[in-house]
Amino acid sequence: MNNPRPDQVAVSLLLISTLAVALPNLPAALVVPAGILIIVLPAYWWSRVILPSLAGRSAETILATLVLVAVIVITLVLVLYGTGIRVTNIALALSLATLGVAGWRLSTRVSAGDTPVAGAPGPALRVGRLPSPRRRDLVILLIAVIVLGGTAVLARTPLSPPAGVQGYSQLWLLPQPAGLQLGVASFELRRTHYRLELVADGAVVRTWDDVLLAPGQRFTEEVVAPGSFIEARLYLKDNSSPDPYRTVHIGGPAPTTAPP
Amino acid sequence: MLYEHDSSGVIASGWGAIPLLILSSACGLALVTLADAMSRSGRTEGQALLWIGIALIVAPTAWRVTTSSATRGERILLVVLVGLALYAIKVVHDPFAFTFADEFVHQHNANEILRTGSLFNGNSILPITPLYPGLEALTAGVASTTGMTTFGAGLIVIAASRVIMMLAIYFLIESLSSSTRAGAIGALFYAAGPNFLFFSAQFSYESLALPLSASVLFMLVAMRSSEDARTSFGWGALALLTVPAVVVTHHVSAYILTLALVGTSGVSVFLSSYRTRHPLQSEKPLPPDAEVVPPPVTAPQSQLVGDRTFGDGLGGTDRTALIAAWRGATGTRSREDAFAYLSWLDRPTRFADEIIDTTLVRTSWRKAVSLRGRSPLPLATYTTTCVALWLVVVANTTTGYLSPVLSNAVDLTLKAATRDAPTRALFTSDAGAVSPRWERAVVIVSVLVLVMWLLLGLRALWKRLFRDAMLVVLTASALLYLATLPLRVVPAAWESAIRASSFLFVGVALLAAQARPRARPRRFAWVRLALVGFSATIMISGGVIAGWPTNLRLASPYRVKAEGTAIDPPGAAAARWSTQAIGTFNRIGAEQSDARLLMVYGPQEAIAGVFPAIDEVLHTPTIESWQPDLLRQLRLRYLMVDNRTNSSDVLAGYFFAPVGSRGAAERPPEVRDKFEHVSWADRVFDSGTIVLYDIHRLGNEQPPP
Repeated sequence: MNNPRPDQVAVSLLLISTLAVALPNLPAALVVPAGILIIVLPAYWWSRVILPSLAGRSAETILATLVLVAVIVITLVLVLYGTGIRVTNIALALSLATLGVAGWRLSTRVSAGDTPVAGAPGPALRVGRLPSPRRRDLVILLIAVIVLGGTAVLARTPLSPPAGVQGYSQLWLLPQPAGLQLGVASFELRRTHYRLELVADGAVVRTWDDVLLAPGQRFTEEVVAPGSFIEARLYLKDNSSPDPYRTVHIGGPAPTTAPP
Repeated sequence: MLYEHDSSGVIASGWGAIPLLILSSACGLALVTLADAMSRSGRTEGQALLWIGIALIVAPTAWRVTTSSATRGERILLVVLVGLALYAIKVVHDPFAFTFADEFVHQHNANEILRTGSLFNGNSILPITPLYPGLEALTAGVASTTGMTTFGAGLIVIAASRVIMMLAIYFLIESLSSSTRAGAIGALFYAAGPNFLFFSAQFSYESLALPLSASVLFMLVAMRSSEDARTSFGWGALALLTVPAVVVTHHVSAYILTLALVGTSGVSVFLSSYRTRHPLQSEKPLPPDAEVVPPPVTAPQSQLVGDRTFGDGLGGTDRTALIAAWRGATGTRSREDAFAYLSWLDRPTRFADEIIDTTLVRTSWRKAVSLRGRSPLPLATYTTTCVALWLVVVANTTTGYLSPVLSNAVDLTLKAATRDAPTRALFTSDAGAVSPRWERAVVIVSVLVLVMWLLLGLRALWKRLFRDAMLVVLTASALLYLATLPLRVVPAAWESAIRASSFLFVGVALLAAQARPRARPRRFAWVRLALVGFSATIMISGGVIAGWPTNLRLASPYRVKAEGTAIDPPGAAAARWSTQAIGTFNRIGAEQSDARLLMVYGPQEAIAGVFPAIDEVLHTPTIESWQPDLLRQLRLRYLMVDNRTNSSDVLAGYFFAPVGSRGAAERPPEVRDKFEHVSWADRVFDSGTIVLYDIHRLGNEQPPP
């Protein structure tokens, strides 16, 4: 604990991380670890202040640090509730917390010298240095990393759908300040040709005969249609069925023989 | 702390079995991912890969942590590895988005904190959750500093929670058992709980609060047993800081933590009072002329290699320190000497046990308690105060939320006991999916194995059970877990029983870890290792089967490939469409699964479920006269009608379903079309299975006759 190097390293990392988060347009590969460091470092520091005897006990330090991450961030967000929870506020509060604990550490080190309590038994376990890994260990770990990388890629890759899963299309008709918005979005599994009809009080007032959409594409049109009952019908051009694939309507009940 | 000096002072070399076990876990995870991929592609052969993958993660680690050559650091690293690898199974199950029912609720809350910059925003599905914003506050903090989405930040937060949980359980059991091996086995037993693989890995407030609660229990033990006052103060301070974090994160976790601390305090007072009236032989005063000689310490060197913590691995100066402390306590009985002695008494090591049990010590328990001054009572009082303050000042609707659930569970349990209420079919999910016969056999065997380990553990622990109040409380919770097993046949109580197991399994892990099946002669030691490996695997498998429905254990198709791009299911796409087309925070009545998607991807103010009776509005074949009134009262602007029957299923309603499968079953046409013919409903959106009706005109029109 008398060794100042961990503190210096932590301060340097915190400064670099704050810079990385503050600078715009940095890649996520830099911002994400920097953001995590901004949250973890104050907690690590607090753990060293609250439990100085944990120096050298990595597992206990990790537990104390992770618990303090939760405690500090939750407390900060609760405190900032009145002023607005923004990234700048959180970063500023974390920096203040870090400065505070750094000052406390400095003062306690000067006053107490970080010496163990007189007469107290020493730690039951002395911790040795982490031994250098053998070449065989490194090879095995490398294989494990490759396997995990492949696993991540496989997990995140969208696969072909199972047999029987069908795509779908969205059709909408929404009132706008001036007219109506008519839209089609394709979530079919392949490019699809559509035919679209706008019907007012039973009469077709406009037709879009061949709307071709790839999966994920959409078609929208602002339209004006006179009448009290406006209907839009979407047909699949490849489908010979006379029934519309999708229908939407505005104004009054749909004309039908079925009782309401 | 991977490597330590062993008792002979020799530093272990190399990384031991750790690289191989990391590779084994990676391969296990890869097999599970492959099984998920096969399941997403519609192939059903993946179940076998899932079980092989889990076995590859658990069995080798269980074997390794049991061997006597494993170091403490290795054991800690391996239990964390198992915890994270099992968490990764949940992550690869849903790698694109949160898809568990509660996850939508909490993701919405986190999104709202980021959007509004304030807490306590509304939640139309589970209004109680914004009043416990700990998880969402932490997630929002991580998301805002890293620039990640709440999905990515949530995954990191729960991964960190999982590390906290494994470490807390390990340290708690290690401290109470004075054995690194017991700590590691206990952590593995905890992973065998029915909720561990999926439920406790979801993005939900309990997944964070429970690890923090377990940490508080460990901090209490560490505070009471630390060698020096400064460390004791440090753990106590950390506990004081952690308790409010639990309180603002999850109601039930906070209440159970309070119960555990109050129970520990009560038992502690009772034990000290009992010891005063009935001192052990070791506490009776010595005759004035008696000569006190410590017994020889004769533990074989081979035992010193295995459990290198506290007294188990003492050698050289540490053993001298122990004997010196003992001499001090029995001889001069000064305050400092007694303190030094008590630090060993709090950790009954094999050596200390021998000394305590075979010699006469003059320190009375009354004096011991007064000297210790580290009672759990102040922490219990503080926790109770925090819980009461939050309940009164912020979350006063909690009792109204929890009491019907609990009273209903108790009421129906009593009725089921007297056969006045129907019971629930075991091994059948709410959606009607029945587990295969072999899975039922695994669950039954796993329960029997668990009972066997608990009985063995109780037998091993019995002699020193009443020396520590925490041991008594956790043992009681283990026995309570067994008592909750019959509740799984009661419809209203099974969910409470399953959820309680997350908490009660801390006690189960402690008790089971005390069991030390012996194999004699020593050349049959592999039998013991095999028994531990088999038990861990069968119990984790049984926990997985009991904890999650068969049809959802492997991934369902969520994001599928379509001509160079990927598409999501209709519910998620409709929710995203709503943002651009109709704006945000519209009040929409919808099915359970659609409502959750609308809440997260809208965000919309979605109303679903049986109270208010949106389910009934959506599922009746005709529009009843009371329904328009209800829609008007609820001030709904839209109704989302979903033709799929599984859209009511909060577990299964978010995915693509192949035609002809159970998930693709449709509602009757009269249910689907009943809003087509009323004058107040405009059909403004149609995506096949999902239709959105604008019902704003309902407010200006008379309901139909």
